[in-house]
Amino acid sequence: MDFLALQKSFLLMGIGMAVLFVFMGILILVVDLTVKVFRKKDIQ
Amino acid sequence: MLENIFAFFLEGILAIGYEQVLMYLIGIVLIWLAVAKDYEPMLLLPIGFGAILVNLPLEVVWSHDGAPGALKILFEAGVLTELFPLLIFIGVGAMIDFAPLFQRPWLMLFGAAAHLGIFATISLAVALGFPLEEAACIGVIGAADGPTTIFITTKLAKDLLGPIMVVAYSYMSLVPIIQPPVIKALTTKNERLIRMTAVDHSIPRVVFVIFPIAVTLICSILIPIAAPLVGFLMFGNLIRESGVLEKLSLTAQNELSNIVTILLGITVGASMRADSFLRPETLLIMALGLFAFVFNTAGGVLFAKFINLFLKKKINPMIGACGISAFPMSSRVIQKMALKDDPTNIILMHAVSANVSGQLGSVVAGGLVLALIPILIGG
Repeated sequence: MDFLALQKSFLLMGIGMAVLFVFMGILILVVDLTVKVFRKKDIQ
Repeated sequence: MLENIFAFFLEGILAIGYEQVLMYLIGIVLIWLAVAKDYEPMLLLPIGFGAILVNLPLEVVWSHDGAPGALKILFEAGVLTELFPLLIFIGVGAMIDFAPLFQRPWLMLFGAAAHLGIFATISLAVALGFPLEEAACIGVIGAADGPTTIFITTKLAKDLLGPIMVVAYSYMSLVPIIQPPVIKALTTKNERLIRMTAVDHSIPRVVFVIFPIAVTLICSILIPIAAPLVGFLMFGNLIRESGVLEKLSLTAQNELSNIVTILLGITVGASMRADSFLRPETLLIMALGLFAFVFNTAGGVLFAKFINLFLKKKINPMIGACGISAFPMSSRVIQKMALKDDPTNIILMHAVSANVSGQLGSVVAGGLVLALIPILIGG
């Protein structure tokens, strides 16, 4: 077994999952914010 | 002269070995699954027939007398250039309705959680002896996203394209069989009975137009190499949501998708040449692909259970399983499971929300794999 490659795959898992959650977090903020801003404008 | 005529007719028969016969059988099984079992017929049927075509005597449809055959031309022009998967993504984008997700954007978190299986499978594949770049392509099978899987595999491990595509599309069609037992094993009946409150507030139209542009910008800035994937997907969605291109939207959803699916299917089948498909690794890829699907489902469900530890109003953990991008099959499966336990429990809109975010998650996960693997191998 290639332990160095295995180590790299675990690193990929850590970075990958972290970036995925950050990306989704940013999208949640974008949607939340745009919905709030444009709903206010709609009401006005 | 008679001898030459006799030799001409014998040439085809003598060119058939047991490997070719095995490939014909595999092709016939794929066609049978499509026709008799209705498992992803739009893909499995062309793939099955492509597998037969490319293994015919002397491989004439692949190349003949030094000139490339029709299938090779299609393969090089559509698959190796990544054109077909990207065109399919325009159609997929045009089919996605983000409205349920905008009602409950926090469900996007499941689009991240349910991709744990990709990375876990990469580690397992490496442990089983696959090089990191091949392991990455095998892991991406778990995303349940055919175009992304093709895109990644053509860039990182072209030789594995045939087995990986067949495994990916076969398991995608088996979502209704793979997911329920995993979900049942990880949840109690009481958890599956949890009801989700219906949310129904109006979403301003402009949000639908801003969203695909914002996703493209954010994703491409964060992971530039994922730009083609996310760009074509969101372009299709923008056509749909702009509200002024109804004809183009319908064309992308129907004619474009159908034409490219036919060409992609038969071309992927053409990558199943006996010499590259009939290897022990193919069986390992099948096992690892299943592991990826199971682990992705488990990742989503366990994340939902984890969130429930902090919530007063619990969420139905089955929704977590929809974070894979098998859209809309996965959300339908979850709704069916919910109705089985309680015929009045409607969780479809929540499930669809997690499911469409899974589509975004798979594109980002694919882009990450593409970006990070060369860096990890080089470093």
